[in-house]
Amino acid sequence: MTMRPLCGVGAAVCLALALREAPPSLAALRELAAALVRPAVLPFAFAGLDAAQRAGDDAEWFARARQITDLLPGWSDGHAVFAYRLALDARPAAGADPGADALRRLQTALAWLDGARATAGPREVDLLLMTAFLPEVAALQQPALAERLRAGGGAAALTDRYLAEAERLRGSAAIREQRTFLAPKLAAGLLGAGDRAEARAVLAAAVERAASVRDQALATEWQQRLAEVLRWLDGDRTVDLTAVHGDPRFAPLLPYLR
Amino acid sequence: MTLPRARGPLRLTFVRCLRAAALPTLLAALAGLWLPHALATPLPGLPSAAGAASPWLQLPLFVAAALCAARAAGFWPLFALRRPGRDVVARLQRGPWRGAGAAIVGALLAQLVLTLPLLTFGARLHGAPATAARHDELAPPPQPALTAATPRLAFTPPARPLASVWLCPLAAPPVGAFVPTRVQLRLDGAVLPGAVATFGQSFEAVELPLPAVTVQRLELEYVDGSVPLLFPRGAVRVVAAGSEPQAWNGAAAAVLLLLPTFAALAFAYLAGAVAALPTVWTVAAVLLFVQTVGGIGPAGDVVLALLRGRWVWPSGTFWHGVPSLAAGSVAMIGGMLLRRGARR
Repeated sequence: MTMRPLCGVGAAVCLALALREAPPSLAALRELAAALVRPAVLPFAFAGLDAAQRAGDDAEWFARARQITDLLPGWSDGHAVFAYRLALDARPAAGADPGADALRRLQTALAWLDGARATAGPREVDLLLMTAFLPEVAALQQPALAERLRAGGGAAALTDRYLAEAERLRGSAAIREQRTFLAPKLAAGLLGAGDRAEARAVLAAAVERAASVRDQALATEWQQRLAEVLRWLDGDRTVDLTAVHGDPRFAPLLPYLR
Repeated sequence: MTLPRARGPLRLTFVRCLRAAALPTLLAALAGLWLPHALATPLPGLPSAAGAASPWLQLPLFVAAALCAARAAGFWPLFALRRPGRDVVARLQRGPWRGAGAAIVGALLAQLVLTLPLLTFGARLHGAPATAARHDELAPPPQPALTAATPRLAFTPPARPLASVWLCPLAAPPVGAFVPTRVQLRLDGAVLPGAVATFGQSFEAVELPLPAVTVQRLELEYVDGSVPLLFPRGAVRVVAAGSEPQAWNGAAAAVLLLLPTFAALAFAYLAGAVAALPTVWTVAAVLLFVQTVGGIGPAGDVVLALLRGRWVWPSGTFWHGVPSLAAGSVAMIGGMLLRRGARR
C-alpha cells in the first residue's frame, strides 16, 4: 500500500519528462492514426484503384491514386508513378485543346510531386530527379505540349530548375554533371524562346562547370565544344563546328547554328 | 420520437433495429462526408470523381446493415442457443422459422428505411450525378481477339437507342515493332465515320459517341498496328441514350443492398441452430464484411455504379446479387431443417 503513492508520483514525473522531451503534436497524432488505419484500409484502396482502371474513368483513377498516396505520404516511387501517368497517359478531355490540356496535366503532376517532397525524407533528392525528367519526357511524347513550353525556354528549363534544386540539396558530382550535360538542350530551349542572352549565359556557366566533370578527357572535350558554340553565337563565323555537328548531344542546338 | 407500439416479430424487430441503428448511421454518414475533406491533401487541377467516394458512402451503409443484423440476431430468441425465452417463443410462435424469418424481414425493412435517404440524397452530396444512364456490358464472341488475322469482332447490343460505346481492351505483346493498334467501329455493317480508337496498352479506355439510334450489330474492325487486342466480358460497354432520375437508381440500390444483409442473417440463423449468440454475431459480421467492404457480393459494384451515374437495375450489377440471395435462401432452409431435427 505504501508503494502506491510513490509509484503514482514516479509515473507522473516520467509522463511530465516524456511530454517535455517529445511534446504531443497534431501531426504525430495523425501519423499514429494513419499507421493504425493503413494496414486495414490499403488493400481496399488498391482494389478501388483496380476497379477504377477496369470500369471507371481517368478522374476516378487519379482520385483513387491520390487516396493511396494520402495513406502512404512517404512512398515517393508511388507519387512518381501516379504523377507520370497523369502527365503522360491521361486521355485529353473531350473537345479540349491538346496543348492546353497537356500543360494543365503536366502542371498538376509537377504540383503533385512538389507536394510529395515534404514527406519524402531522405528520398527527396531522388524525387526531385524523377520530377526533373518529367517535363522532358512529356514534351517528347506530346508535341503540342513542347510548343506550349517553348515560350518559357522549353521543357529543359523546367528540368534544369529541378536539377538545380537537387544539386543544392545533395551536391553530388552525378547531379552536377547531369546539369552540365543538359546545357545544350536548355540553351536550345531559350534560343527557341528568343532569349539569346540567357542561352549564352547558360552555355558560359556550363563551360565553367565542365571543369569539375570527373572524367578529365570528357571535360576538356565538352568545354571545347561549348566554347565553339559560344563563339558562333557571339558572331564568330570562322569557328569550325564540324565536331559539334557530329555530336548527338548538341542536336537540339543545331537549328540555331546555321 | 415516439414509435408505434409494436407486436409480432417483424414489427418488434423493425422498431428495435431502427432505434439501435439510426443514430450511429447518421453519425457515420456525417463522418463519411467530413473525413474525405479532412484527410485528403488538396491538389488543384485534379478533377473530382464521385466514384472515388465509394468507401465514404459505404461506411454508413455498412454501419446500418451491421447494426440491424446484430440487433435482429440479438433480439429474436430463436437466432441462437441458450437465449432467454427461447423455449417459450418456440412453443408459441408458428411458421416454419418460428418468427426468425419475420425478424429478418423486420431488420431488412429497418435497413431499407435507413439507407434509402443515404443512397438517394446522400449519394448526391458525394458528387453523384443527378441522372443515371443505362450501361450494358456486351457479351464477347467465343474468340475475343482482334488481330490482323482475325480483323473483326461482332457484338449484339440491346435493342434501344445508344449514346456511346466504351472500349477498354487488354493488350497482348506487340507482334514486331510496336505500333498502337487502331480499331474502327462499324454499326450494322457500315463504317461509322470518325469512330476510330487507338490502343497501345491494356486498360486504355476510350468512349466513342454514337448516333442515338437502335443498332442490331456492333462490330470492331482492325485497321492497323502491331498490338493484338482482347475484348473479354466487360471490355465493351454501351451507354443507352437518355437517362433516369438518380433517386430511382438510389432506391434500386437500397433494395439490392439488402441482399448481403439477408445472406448474413440467414447464415447466422443457420449457425444459431448449434451455436450461442457470440458465434452467431461473428458469423453475421464476417459475412456482412466480406460481402460489402470485402467486395464479394453486389454491394461494392452497386455503390460504384450509383456514384458513377450508371443504372443499377436491371444490369450486370443486379445479377451479382443473385448468389447472395440463393445462398441466403439455402441457409434459411438449412436452419429450419436443423432446428426441426433438434426438436425431434
